[in-house]
Amino acid sequence: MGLKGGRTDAFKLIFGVCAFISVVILFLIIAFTLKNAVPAFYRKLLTFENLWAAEYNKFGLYTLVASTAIVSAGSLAISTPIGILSALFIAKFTPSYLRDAFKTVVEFLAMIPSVIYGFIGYMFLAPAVARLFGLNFGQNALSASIVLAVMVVPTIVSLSTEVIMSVPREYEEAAMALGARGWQTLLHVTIPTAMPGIVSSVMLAFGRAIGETIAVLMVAGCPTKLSGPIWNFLQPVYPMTAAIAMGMGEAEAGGAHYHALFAVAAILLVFVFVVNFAADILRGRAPRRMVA
Amino acid sequence: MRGRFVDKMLTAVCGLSFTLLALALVGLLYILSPGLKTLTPSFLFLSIHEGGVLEPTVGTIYLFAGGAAIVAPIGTFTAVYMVEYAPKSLLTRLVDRTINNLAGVPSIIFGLFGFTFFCKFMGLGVSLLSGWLTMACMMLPIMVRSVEEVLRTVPESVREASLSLGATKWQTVRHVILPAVMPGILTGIVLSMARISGETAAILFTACFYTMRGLPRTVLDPVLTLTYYLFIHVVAKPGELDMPSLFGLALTLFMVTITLSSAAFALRAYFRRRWRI
Amino acid sequence: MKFKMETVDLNVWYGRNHVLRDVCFKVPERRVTAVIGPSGCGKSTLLRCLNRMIETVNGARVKGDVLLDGRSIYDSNVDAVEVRKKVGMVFQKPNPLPKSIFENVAFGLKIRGVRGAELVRRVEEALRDAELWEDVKDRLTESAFKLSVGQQQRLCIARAIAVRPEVILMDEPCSALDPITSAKIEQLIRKLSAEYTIVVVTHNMQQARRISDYTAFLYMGRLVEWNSTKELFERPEKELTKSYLRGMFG
Repeated sequence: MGLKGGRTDAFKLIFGVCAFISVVILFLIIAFTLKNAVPAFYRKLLTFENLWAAEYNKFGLYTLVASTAIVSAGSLAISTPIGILSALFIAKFTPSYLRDAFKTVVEFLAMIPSVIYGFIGYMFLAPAVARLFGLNFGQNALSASIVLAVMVVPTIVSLSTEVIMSVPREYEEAAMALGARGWQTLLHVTIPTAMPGIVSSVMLAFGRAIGETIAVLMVAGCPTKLSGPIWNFLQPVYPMTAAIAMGMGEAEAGGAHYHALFAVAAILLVFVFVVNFAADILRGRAPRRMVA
Repeated sequence: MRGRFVDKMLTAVCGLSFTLLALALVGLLYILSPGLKTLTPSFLFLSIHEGGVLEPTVGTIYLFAGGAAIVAPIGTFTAVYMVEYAPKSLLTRLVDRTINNLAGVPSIIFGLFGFTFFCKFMGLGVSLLSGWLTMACMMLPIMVRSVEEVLRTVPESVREASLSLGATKWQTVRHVILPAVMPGILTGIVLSMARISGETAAILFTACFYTMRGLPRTVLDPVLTLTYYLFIHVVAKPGELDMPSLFGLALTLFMVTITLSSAAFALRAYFRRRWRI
Repeated sequence: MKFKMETVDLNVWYGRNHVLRDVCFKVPERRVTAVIGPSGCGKSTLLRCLNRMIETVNGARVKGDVLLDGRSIYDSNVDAVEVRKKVGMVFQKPNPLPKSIFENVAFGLKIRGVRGAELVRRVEEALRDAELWEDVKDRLTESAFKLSVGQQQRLCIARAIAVRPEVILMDEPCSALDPITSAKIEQLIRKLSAEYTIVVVTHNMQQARRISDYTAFLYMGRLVEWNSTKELFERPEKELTKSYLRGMFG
């Protein structure tokens, strides 16, 4: 049983090569990042101390990683409850004719460029925070968390809304037919069913928060070290992404600073891949063609 | 009764959360609104040397147009391969995972990659061309997923009909499927452009240069974008631009991005309605 | 009697499922051959083997042979695409292409290189033969989806005959249609059999009796009986056939 190909096979090859380009790109990204990061590990440039000061060749990871952790955790603390509750609102408590409008509100927030969030944070949020807490400058973990929270909340809302709405009506009807109230159905049937998708959306948001650069750079403060304990949200912080962005402008190619930055980038990549991988597992991706 | 009370409380709390989001949006728009006064035609079409934003605006358009031109065919062909030619192959599964991972890569890392690979390794330097290539890498997941989504809405019966008439796979793709999904492909392109128009971190060291002050004359010149221009003036040169200009700049950027995004969503909604047969 | 198509010990598996067993099915030239049998007996599968559409089904495995004019269509240097140019198909659920009415019928011709005035002429001819011309002649550029289900099925028939295949396969062509439209399609099938060799799969015994010259009865993947329609319905040889015809099982 054979099949003659000819023309069709040629196109399959061309398209296959095209598809392979994406694999090549990812490979190159990883390769070039690692290639420039390896000297940093080799030459033991990085330490775990709380000091990141390129002029003194001090590259303490604690400052950067702890800053990223504080700011991501803070942004998730704000965006997760608001995001999930908003998703519930849109999915369950909104009449269908309004749903698209409300989804658009959320999508609008997602469309805004990060530099504008940074701009507004810098011009308005940071001074407000400074006034509120009696500080000299408002650039700190709190401001960064708030800005990041607004930036990632659309991810949580849109994905969670989709997941909640895709919970089969039959499950909910079964519960209601047994006399369960609205909130009981939600709590015992809808949310547990949607939970993997919801958690996945939070993880994707986490991945976004970790990777955001421009907005945090403008409102986080970027000090050389963390002046207080890790739970102090009013201290200026220096997330990994901001350090890379700030550093690249000055680091000379091939120097210690240069390699240290790539090392940080490599660590960032690992974090992001792990988080996204976990999120994907939860969502169980399985694409299929539609059957008539 | 307790049950009913909890129901009402829940609705209220959820509504409150959503209201917070809506307020955030309204607040953002309100804050940006002073810029409206500055958005005169002269502002938009005046050079930056005369207080306008012409070069950054044109630069932004150059950047996303070029990036889109590169990524549109590659993304489309990738999706066609994955859905039409080899839906079950190892390569398809690999590409699927790769696209997911690429979508999650932070933009600063694309910037680093663009810098080391396109600017340094390929010798293109900080240029519009490097920016295009870097942007194309960033846009690829969006493009592939958009076209994939739209290809999957084509029912199997259409492919069967075409094949049963003696058409080859390529004839089916070229004459039946691609024409039918063209609006979807267009949506993917506009969506990618919308994303890129708001990008800063990735072009920071690949396409933009601190001292650049005009339009690129060749593709090997650096380019000014609205995002970079705004960023520089907030972070590096506070005071060089007066507040009204700064707001006008921010609002111009906002308008560009919103227009592209809205166009993409409108296209997608139109396309979805069309297939409700 | 000349057989246009024949299957030789045809076996098909869907994964582990043995769906067709040693089927030796014969299709006389320029006649209507009906394939009847209960649901799931393999009728549609058999049909799809005749134009190699079985290859588009994931996990399907074919053993045995299918002959067209005495020559194997599964030979290694035979292109499936060429087979489908000679053996056309009409599906159970009408599946117009997402194009205009004209373009639907023209598509098959275009990929065979027909252009210009000849193209227009043949499209009209096919639509007339399918008895759809009068209904659509003023709206050829409209979307095919605007037609009623019955008209869409006629469009699919027009599309199939426009390219003048040697054999037309029809997979329960009337099951998605109402009785009146069905009757019209049945008339069309009888009319077409003057020029084309037709194989019709149907779960409707009366329909088989009305439109076909020969009938094959399939049960659980095996060809139980094959005879002229008159003989099979009036004097069935096998017990199984008798039981089925009496309506003992569906």
